[in-house]
Amino acid sequence: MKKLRFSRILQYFALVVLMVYIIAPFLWLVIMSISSSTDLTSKPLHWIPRQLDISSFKELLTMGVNSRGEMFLNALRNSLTTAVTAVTISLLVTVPAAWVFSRYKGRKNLILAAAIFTFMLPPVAYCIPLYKMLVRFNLMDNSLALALVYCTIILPFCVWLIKENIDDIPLELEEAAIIDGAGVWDRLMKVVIPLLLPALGTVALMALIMAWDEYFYAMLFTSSKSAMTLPVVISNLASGRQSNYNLIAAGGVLASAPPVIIGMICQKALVKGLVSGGVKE
Amino acid sequence: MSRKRTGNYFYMIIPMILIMGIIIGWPLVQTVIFSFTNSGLLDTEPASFVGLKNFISAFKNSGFLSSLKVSGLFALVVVTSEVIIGTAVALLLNEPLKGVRLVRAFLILPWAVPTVVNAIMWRLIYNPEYGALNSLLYQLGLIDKYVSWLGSADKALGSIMFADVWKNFSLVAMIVLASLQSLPEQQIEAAKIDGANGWQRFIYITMPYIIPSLQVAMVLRIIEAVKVFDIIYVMTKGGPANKTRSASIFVYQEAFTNSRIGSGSAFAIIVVAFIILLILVYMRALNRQKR
Amino acid sequence: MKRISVLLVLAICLLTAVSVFAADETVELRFLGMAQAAYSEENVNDMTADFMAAHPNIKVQTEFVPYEELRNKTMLAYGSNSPYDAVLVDDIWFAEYASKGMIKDITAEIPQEYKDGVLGGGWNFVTKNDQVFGLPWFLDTMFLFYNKSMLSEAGYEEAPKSIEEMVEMAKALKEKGVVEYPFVFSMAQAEALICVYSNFMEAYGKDYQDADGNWIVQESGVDVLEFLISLKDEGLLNPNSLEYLEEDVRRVFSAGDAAFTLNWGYMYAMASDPAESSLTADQVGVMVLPGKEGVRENAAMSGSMGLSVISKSAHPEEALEYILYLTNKKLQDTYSNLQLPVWTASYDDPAIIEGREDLVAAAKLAFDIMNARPSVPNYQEASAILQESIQSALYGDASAQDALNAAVEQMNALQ
Repeated sequence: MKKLRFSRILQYFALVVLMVYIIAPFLWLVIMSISSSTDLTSKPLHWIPRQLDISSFKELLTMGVNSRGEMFLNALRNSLTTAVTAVTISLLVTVPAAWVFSRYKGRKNLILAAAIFTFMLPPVAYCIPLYKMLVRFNLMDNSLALALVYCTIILPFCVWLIKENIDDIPLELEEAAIIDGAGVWDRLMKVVIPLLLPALGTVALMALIMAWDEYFYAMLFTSSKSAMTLPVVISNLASGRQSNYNLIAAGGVLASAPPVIIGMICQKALVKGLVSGGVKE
Repeated sequence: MSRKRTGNYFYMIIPMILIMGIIIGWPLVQTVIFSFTNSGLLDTEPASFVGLKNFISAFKNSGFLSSLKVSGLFALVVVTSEVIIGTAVALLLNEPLKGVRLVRAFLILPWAVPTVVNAIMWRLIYNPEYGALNSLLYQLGLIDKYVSWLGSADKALGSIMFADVWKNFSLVAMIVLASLQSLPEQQIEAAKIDGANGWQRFIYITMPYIIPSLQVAMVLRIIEAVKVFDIIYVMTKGGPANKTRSASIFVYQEAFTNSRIGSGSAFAIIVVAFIILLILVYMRALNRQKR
Repeated sequence: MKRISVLLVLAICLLTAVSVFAADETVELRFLGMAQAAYSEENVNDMTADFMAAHPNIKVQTEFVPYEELRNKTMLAYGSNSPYDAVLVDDIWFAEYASKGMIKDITAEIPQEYKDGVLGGGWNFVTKNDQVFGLPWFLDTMFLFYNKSMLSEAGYEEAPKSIEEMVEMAKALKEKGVVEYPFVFSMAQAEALICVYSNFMEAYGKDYQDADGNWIVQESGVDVLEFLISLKDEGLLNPNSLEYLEEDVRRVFSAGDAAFTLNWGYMYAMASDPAESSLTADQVGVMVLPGKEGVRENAAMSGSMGLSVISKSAHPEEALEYILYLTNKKLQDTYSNLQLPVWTASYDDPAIIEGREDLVAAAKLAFDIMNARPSVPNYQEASAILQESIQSALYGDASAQDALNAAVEQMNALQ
């Protein structure tokens, strides 16, 4: 019995260590964002800010011509529109395709395999022609074009997960609809999609977070506040010749807030969606 | 229901094929074409075909080869650590402990922090003068001098890896935890009755059960890790002395900073081959294990 | 029907994605600047606001990127159909931009007042093959900053007169425990490293290239590199230097953790600003880097920047108007707190000199003697190669000679 108790103590110890490991770095980022410059540049550090300083947040969230706030708020808007557009396009296109892949196995699955394969390719494999293409069609520095580019990442991911989820929907339900005389479109809209909705929500969330995270293409293809996304603006803010640590931290906190909050609320659904992709194989 | 001929529904795939063709297929073909030319970024002078020259010089380019090594090493270390830590964490969080729900709720936090923010956050933490890590270790008496984490040739890559593990172990842990929670209780009970001890139950029941989802997590992570660009680019830009320059960063610099699209494309294609090779090796190993 | 509606949805998606916003009517300019301390984003935006107030028909959109992204962004945007109209150009890029035809030749459009009034050194770096490709915005060099109270603590009341004397002082400072690492330099894998190295090359009286433009740094640069390595090995150089950029260096110096450093002119005011620094004005010494004994007295390497009009700009006149405004004397005098004007007359203006006689004197001397880094079209690549080699020698992975041999071999292979 004693042995058991000892292992329990160990487990609790591990749990505390784990909690600290998970929380500490981000908590420190939050603390930095509300500390004053002098606290952050003293040696050794002042772990607890001597006075609250939220001026960085104010600076980033206040509009003004050519101001940092304008840059940041525009980036927030751009990140949102780019991500939402990319996910919308991807879902519109992949749901019917995934349904066909799931219901009619055949040579078409080559296309599915190709889609999943492209997931493995690094963006550097096609960023050069994409750049030339965007230049030719005058689409550099354009949120919608960037969203289309984001489909290279999101689309293969969506088609894979959605297909796996459609596999889970019993074919019998559709057969019943066919007997009632439903066409393909009805089967999809009236039977499959209602059952698929929760999974679609999960996939959409995952895809949104992926798009929100994207940095490489945004760095290459955007250059002004009309299209620059948050990761680009924040990395510019943080790179080299800027040493307002609290301002950098505040930018990081603000950019993390949407995915962190959504993630913590929807964690269960998110994980279920991911697991569904693999458990059965 | 009989599997009907599928030709009827082909049109439902067309939109996807179109988009994939435009943004993935065609660019890929073009990358291949570029790789045999000496095209420049700005089209200031006409490009011409140079045959295999770009590829041959790629294999003589020590900078490129060492960047492949950085990517490979990064993927190996990072994914291995994430799988081990992630699995251990999932097992711990599956135990009936007090407070475990709270920790589970926060488990998603590292993964949800955007990569760029993660990179910046750790860069601030690693700062050699005012970084939290130095201050902490110093105050705990573990170091007597502040350490230059990202500026030391031998520590920079390790420090970046540590930052990446922090973010992505949580993805592995979440996936494994979810599959652990769906493990049927009876199986464990039955094994207990048969007299299996904790270790045996873990090896013969739990492990086989979580392996499929672990594989998904691993494939996802390997793919991401071999392609690594963002976290390194934001933290060190490939320095010091190019010790942390990954293959993706190398290709980016060749194509865009040095304006050489031709050889940049050739490098990109070699990187793709390298990634496919790594994944094939991994699949092979997995299949052997299954048998 | 169903089929058509699917295709229709798709078509709409594509169309919205591909559609381009209609062009605006008023003249809109895009200016690409750099996120730096001087002129700061705030300063440039204030200047721009004044410009727009005086020119209601012109709207200027300013964008700022870190130095490391500045050239890439300029080129990528130039390659696209929506280039910037005016850009900030580092002196080492003029050769490349001009040879690629990216920036406009404005020789004929420069007002006489500018031709006569702006420092000769300014016109030097914006001029290639007798064509003027931009307006000098600021002249700068890496000055030697030193902590006066540290020196006097070790018994030195005078600033060093040579490299050797400076090192001697540093050794004494370290021995007496005044400061752990007397030197701190910006030697991260970036252009800043080349700037530091180039300043010492100047101090040793050495050149990167011979008269025909062949790289000779594997001969000329070895002892300079060995000198830097010796600073590191003897514990005189802050080891974090290898990950530092200019702002990090400024922080260390301002916190009183270094006796000597090299940095741009902007640091002078900031190093004695109580909000930014623990030092007071009488502790901060500034001078032109002394030369090696018996070689030369002073050394300076140009780190100036200019403003250019992009040749593809749809509104070249307005863009020129804008950069002329940014470089005009009155404005430069107004914002001269962190950045000295490019106008000769300003250096005799008591209002400008007051309170920083040392800096202005140093600047006068430096701008007179300063040399440029190699101005070659593939400078950026050559610099990246040098950065890696110099760092690997500093880390002890290769000897100074081997590292520079390897660098020159790679640089010669560049097209």
